[in-house]
Amino acid sequence: MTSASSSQAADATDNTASEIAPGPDWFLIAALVAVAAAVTRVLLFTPIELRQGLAQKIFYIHVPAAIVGMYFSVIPMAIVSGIYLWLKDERLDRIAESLAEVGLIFMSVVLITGPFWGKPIWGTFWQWDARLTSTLFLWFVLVGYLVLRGAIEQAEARARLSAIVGILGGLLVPFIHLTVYMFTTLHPMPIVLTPEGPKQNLSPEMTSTFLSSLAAFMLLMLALTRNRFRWATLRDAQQHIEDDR
Amino acid sequence: MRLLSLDAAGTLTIIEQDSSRGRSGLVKDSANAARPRADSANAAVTAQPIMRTPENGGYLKIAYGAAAVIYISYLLLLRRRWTAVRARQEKNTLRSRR
Repeated sequence: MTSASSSQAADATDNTASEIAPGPDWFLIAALVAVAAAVTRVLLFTPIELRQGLAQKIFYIHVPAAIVGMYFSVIPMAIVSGIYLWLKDERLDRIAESLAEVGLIFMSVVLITGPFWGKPIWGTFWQWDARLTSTLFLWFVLVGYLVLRGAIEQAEARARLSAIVGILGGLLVPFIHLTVYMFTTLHPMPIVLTPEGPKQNLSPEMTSTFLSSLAAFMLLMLALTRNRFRWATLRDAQQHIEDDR
Repeated sequence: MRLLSLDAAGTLTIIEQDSSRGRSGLVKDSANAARPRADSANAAVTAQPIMRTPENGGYLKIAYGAAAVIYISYLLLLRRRWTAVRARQEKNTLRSRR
C-alpha cells in the first residue's frame, strides 16, 4: 500500500472512530439508570414474599438475567452465527462475538445469584440436577467460545469455527428450558415463561416489579452489546490498517 | 443428626436431633419449629424452618452485591478496552501523518 493510500485509510479510521465513539455512551448510561431504578423498586417498593422472606427478592435479578442471557443473548448469538455461515459478513461475526460475551456476563449473574437464593430456600447452595448442571454447561460453552476466539489469529477461520460453537451453544437453551419438565429437579418449573404469563403466579405488584426489572436488564443487555460491537468494529478497522502497512 | 420434614402445607423443616436421645422429639408443627422445644422431654431437639428466617436478608445482600461486582467489573473492562483502542488509534493517526 502506498503512503498516500495508507494515510487515507488512517484518516478513514479516524473518521470511523469519531463516529463510533463521539463521547459518553448515553444509551449505556440510560440503561444503568433504569437498572438502578428497578433495583430501588425491588428493594423498597415491592412487598416481601410471605414464605421466603427477603431472599425471594433475588428472583427479580436472577430470573431477568436468565431470560435476557439465554433467550435474548445466546439464542440470537446462535442465529446470527448461522447467518454468518451463510453470508460471511464480518459484521455478523462481531455481533455474535458481542452477544456471546454479554450473554456470558448475564449467565454468570444467574449462576452466582441462584445459589444464594437456593441456600435459604432449598437448604443447599448447589445440587447436580439437570437444570443447574446444564446451565453451568452452557456457561462453559460460552467461556470456550471466547477462548476459541482468542486462540485463532486468522479472522475468517476464527469467525467460521466460533460460529459453529455458537450454534451448538444456542442448541443448549431449549434443552435447559425443558429440563425442569423432563427430569426431577430441585429447581422449580417456570413461573414467568408459561403460556399464562407471570400474572398467573405472582401478585400484581410483584408482576409489575418483575416486568420493570426485565425491561431494565433488556436495556442493559442491548446497551452493553452495542458498546461491545462498536468497540469490536473500531478494533477490526485498526487491525485492517495495520495489516495493510 | 439432621432430618427433613415436609408438612401438608408444603413447609420444609430441618430438624436437628441429638441422636443419643432417639426420635421421640421430632417437631412436626412448623409454627413451633423455630424455637427449642424446652417443654419437651427431649429438650436438646431444636428445629430450624428453612423458610421465614430473618437472616434471609443476608443472602439477598450477598446475591445483589455479587451481581453488582460482575456488572461493574464488566463495565470497567469495556472502559479499559476503549482506552486501549483509542490510544492505538492515536498512534496510527500520528504514524500516518509523519
